[in-house]
Amino acid sequence: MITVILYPPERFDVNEWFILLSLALILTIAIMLPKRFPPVSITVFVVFTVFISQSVDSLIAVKPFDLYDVSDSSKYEVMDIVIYYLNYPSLAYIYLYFYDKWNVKGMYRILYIIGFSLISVFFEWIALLCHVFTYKGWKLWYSPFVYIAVYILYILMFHLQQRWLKIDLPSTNDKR
Amino acid sequence: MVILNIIMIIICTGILFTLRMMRTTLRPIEKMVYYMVIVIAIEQIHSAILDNLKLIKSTETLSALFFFKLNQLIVFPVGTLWLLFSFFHSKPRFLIKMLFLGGWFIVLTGSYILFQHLGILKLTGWNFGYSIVVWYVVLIESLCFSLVFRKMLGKCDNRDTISTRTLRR
Repeated sequence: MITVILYPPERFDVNEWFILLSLALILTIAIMLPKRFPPVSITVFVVFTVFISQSVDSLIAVKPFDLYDVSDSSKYEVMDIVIYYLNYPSLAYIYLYFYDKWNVKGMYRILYIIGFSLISVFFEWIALLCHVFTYKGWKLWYSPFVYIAVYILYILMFHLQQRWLKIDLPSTNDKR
Repeated sequence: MVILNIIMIIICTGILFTLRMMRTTLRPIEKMVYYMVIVIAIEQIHSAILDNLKLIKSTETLSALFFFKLNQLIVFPVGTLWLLFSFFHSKPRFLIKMLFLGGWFIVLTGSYILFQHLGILKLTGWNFGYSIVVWYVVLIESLCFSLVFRKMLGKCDNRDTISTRTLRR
């Protein structure tokens, strides 16, 4: 028996292409945005994103729930790493970038969260069509609620890290 | 299993309260980020090695998953966070730190054997060798990250001026 720690894709087909093309798009946008956050903040965003996505998946995508599979199978694959470490954090960066740039407050904050959740659901729907996700009990209409909760958590984390880094690194927010 | 989970919730609450005791060495942002990195490392290694190589078979009940997740999300990461705390703390001697490292490793290795006895999972290939690899990788990953993050925060040994300022507050 050949033992593999990280499985390569079973077939390099539409889902892998979708993951790579969406990565190219999102990462390009994220990189082309003018510098706004210090490296410490970006590190916190990336870690938080990987933490949330991996924790949620390891909770509801495994038995006894086993609601969906990511990429080709329920095994941990190379493409899973690409999604967790590159796709999701890039999108989260864009979300927090415009949240901070537009100084979203009050009612607009709710609209911003809902708007981004709907965009995420739209992307998830395309990803579903491309077989990036295989639902085994999950429904697409569950997703907006999860995204809304996650995007609220992002905003809480954003303000928390800003407050903590203001104490620790006074120069962090002076640039704005 | 219900009683076991109640006991586990009480233990986890106690463990979470111990986080307050790390104030002298780790700042809140560090605690939050290191905790998340440790959880990521544990889950990633678990999926990549234990699941992919089919070294364990989890009991597919909600209560067993709850018990296992409490350990994976609270007990193991906070224990590892305490290990990092001891590494970065200037007071304990090297020998004490190494003893703490040994204790950490024995507890984590033993926990999987204990889980089997409690009926949480079945070891189907898991052995001491894998245990060394898995926990060593978790430790190295989290330690390397914390060193880089401390550097980003400007906390480097004797040049740890920000930390000193924070402590004076």
